[in-house]
Amino acid sequence: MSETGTAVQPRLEAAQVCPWITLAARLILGGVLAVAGAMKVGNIPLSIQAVQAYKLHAIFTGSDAVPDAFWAFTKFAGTVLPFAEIAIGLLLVAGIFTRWAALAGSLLMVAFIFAIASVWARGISIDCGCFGNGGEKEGAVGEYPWEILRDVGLLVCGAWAVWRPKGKFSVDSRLRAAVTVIDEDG
Amino acid sequence: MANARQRMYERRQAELKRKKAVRLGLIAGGIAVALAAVLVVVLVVVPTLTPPETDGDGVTPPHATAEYAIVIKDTADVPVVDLFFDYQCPGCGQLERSYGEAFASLSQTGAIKLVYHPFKFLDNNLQNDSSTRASVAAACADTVGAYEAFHNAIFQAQPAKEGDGYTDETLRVTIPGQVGITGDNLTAFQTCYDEQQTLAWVNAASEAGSKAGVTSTPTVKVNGNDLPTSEVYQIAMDDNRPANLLALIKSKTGV
Repeated sequence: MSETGTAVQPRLEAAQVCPWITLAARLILGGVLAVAGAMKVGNIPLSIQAVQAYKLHAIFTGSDAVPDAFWAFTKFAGTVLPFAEIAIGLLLVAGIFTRWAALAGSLLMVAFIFAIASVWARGISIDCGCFGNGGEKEGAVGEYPWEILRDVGLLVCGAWAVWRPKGKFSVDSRLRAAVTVIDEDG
Repeated sequence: MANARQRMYERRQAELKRKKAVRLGLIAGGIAVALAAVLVVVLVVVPTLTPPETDGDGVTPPHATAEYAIVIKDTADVPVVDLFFDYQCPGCGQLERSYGEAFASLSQTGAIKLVYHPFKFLDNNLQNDSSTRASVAAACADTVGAYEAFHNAIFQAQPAKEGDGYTDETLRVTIPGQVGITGDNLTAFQTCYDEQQTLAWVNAASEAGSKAGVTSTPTVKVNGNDLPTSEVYQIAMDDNRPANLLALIKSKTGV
């Protein structure tokens, strides 16, 4: 392993830097998710309205009327989303089940990017409802590129933490260190 | 001797580390379980806290349709005009104060079938209950035959600042006085309002409007086709309003 110091040097650097990047990724994605969830959780009916405003059913049915099954989905999504965001956010910040939490957070971002792109493509002007509020809003189309850019950035954070879940100051790493010691003791 | 002590020491150290690992595992597991528990409780509890969106034991307004709308005069073979509104929505107030009487007169003369769809969703945005109470009051007014006048009077009384809402005094005393609800009718109306007898119907009406795919107010539809309010506002504010409005409505029927 350590015959030539020059070859080892960059590897060492990566091993030292990656956990810090993972920590940053966790805190950014986790922090934003937890805050976004917290701002919505106190007003679930409004959260449901925000989901409704995307009219996602119309992508499939092409008509305004909401099918019963989709209505149930809208209510479910609007109710669960704030809690899921808070839960995933806290797991990421604490670094618990980092890889799975980051995967869940990344999937949420993919869904959000898709949803915002779809209303943009269909010419629907709404407040994204990302941090509360929601519903139709004039001139909101101009904000879509920035919202998508923001979510892509968060997606990159999530993807990084899925790829390199080992990070600084995480419950995972402390747990792993303890377990490793036991294994070595046999 | 030293060897045995050494081994005992190592075993104890290993034991300590194992306990530490178990403790950390318990903490991580505990947090995860707690989050899961919160999620489950919320999924079970929240639905029971939110009011049922169905028609319960309450009073259904006499002019209510099966689709949870109000039709004062049901005329066949004429354009069907659906009005979707929220009593706290400033745009709805502006539309009603400018063209409400023209819509109502076209309905009364049988030129159109006017369908009222009350919403209460701004209560969620504005964090009050004025849209719901105003809708309950209007539905109660229908039980004493004063829906259209009451509907218009609510919008006339709309606060200048969105979110200030309507007081109970305005809804149960002032407006009934303006639209001529008196005597036994006033008593019946106020009982209906005080007991919120039409609340279940109002909740169902708002949900029905949402399920119809309407996510903003005011929304006007002619035979199911959108009639943009910007086009309504092109109509001059003169005595020809009803006739011009009817011409506009008819232009939207054939799409």
